[in-house]
Amino acid sequence: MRRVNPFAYTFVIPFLIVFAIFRIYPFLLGILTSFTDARVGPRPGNFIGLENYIDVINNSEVRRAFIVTFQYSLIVVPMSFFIGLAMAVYVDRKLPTHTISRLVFFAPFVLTATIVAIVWNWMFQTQFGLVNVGLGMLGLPDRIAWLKEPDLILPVIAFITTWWQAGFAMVIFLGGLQNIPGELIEAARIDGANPWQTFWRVTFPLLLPVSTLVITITLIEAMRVFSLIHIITRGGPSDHSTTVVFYVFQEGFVRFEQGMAAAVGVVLFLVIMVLTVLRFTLLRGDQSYF
Amino acid sequence: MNPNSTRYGRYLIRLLIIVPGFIFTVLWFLPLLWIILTSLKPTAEILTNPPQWLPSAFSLEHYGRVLEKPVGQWTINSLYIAIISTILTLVLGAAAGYAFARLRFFGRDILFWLVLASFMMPFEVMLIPLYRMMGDFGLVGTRWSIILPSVAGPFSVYLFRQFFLSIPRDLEDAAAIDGAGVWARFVLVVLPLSVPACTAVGILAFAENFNQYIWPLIMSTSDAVMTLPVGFGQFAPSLQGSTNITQYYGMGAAAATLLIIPSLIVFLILQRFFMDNIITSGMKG
Repeated sequence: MRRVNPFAYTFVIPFLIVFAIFRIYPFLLGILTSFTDARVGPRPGNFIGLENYIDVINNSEVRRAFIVTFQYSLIVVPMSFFIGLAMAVYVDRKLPTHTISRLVFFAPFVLTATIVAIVWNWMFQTQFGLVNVGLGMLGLPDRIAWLKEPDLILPVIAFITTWWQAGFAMVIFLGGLQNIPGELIEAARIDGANPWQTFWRVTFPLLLPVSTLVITITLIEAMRVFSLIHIITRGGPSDHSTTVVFYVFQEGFVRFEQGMAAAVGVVLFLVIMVLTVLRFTLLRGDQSYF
Repeated sequence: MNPNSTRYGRYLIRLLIIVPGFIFTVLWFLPLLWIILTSLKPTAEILTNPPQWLPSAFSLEHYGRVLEKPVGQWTINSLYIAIISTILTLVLGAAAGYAFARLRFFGRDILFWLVLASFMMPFEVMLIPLYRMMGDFGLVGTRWSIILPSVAGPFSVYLFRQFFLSIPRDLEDAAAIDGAGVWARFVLVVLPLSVPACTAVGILAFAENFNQYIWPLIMSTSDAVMTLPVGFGQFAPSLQGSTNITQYYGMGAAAATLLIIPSLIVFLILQRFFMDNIITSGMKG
């Protein structure tokens, strides 16, 4: 029965056909296109060697898009990490109030980007948005143009993303917390550790695998940020929220420089490949957390 | 130490955790509550400072204006795309996952390695080539141009393979001794045991396909293929001109509410699956 089974192919071929045509082939075609000056339309474009890649290095707009994306990642990853962790620790109890909190914290994650964008557009509106109204009630500056300040736009998008997706990190942390044997916490307590010490000295180190998972996933997601940018800021003010994928979108589908857009896409792939390899290497032997 | 004082101390600590937690929970939900209430206000009461929480009279005018757009068509497109994609993802993923888990065939390891490797290929790299391919195939402006790329993803094959590896093979061996062929074993023995895996993959695939944004945006050449997330993007106020801005806030709120309510209902019904499955899959995007 462990022989080679000819029927096996009837199981894999349907998937492999779709996989080959709509995943592997476009991937290779993307690399190919990045070496051409293709524009929109059926013509494949002329081979121009490394010219697009030289452009990627020299072009200040592309460099800026990568810098903006890295800056955004540096804000959103710790934000989602610590808020998700705090949420998980808070809701890891079987009281009804905590169950409600768990549902509320996770609920935004099921919403589509457009809804999140519309809701927060409203919240951050300068004159009547609830954020400024709330700040005003606390006697703080309440005329902040959240979506129009070049220096505020990335933290604001990072905050919105955290509201949207911290529930995802929370659920992963919850899984990690529930895998920690209760005796360890008990032992620390008997040894006289207060809850704060117990958490940072015992619980948190034991969460290392899930922490790695949360960081790598949110980092990869951050590198791919697009939908909120497209709906809320369109890359602005000026180009302060023009991230890599937004740049690819504009270059490829607004300016129709598809060869150049493909080259930026390939560079993004290289970044994400490194992050993915990192993720799978760090988590090797921890199959349960894939 | 007085036992009473430590008990009070413990209550105090519990209170110090619960009260901020409760406030935080309320604040976390406030934006959704606010947008739902806003959608029901008459235009004049939308932009007010201090904010007016409850409308003086419920008004459906914004919903009327939202529904002037082909929202019905967008809904049909979204459901059609999400349902067909989910079914195909389940069928193709379960079959391939089974072969990779249980059957031996030439090229299995290298093919599975390729499936794993494709996790590294972000969809964004394929935007340009897919767009050009859809043109060549004559699929631009059809719903299949959105369905096919999402079915080609590796995650369902991977999850099904992991699941099939985790179930004992004794039953299949017994069926094989009774003369059952490999398809009979798969359909009659393995699939009935796989309801949890199918539910997990099905829910994740549906949510992902219903909510996807960038590819449908590029493929939405007309209302005939436009999905709800892309269509509702038109109601995001910042993109409108400055004229009649209040009206757009109302429309945006109404459009958002039209999707928030069903999303939250589905989430509440399926919440256990959502949260459990995220831990096991750890995958998205």
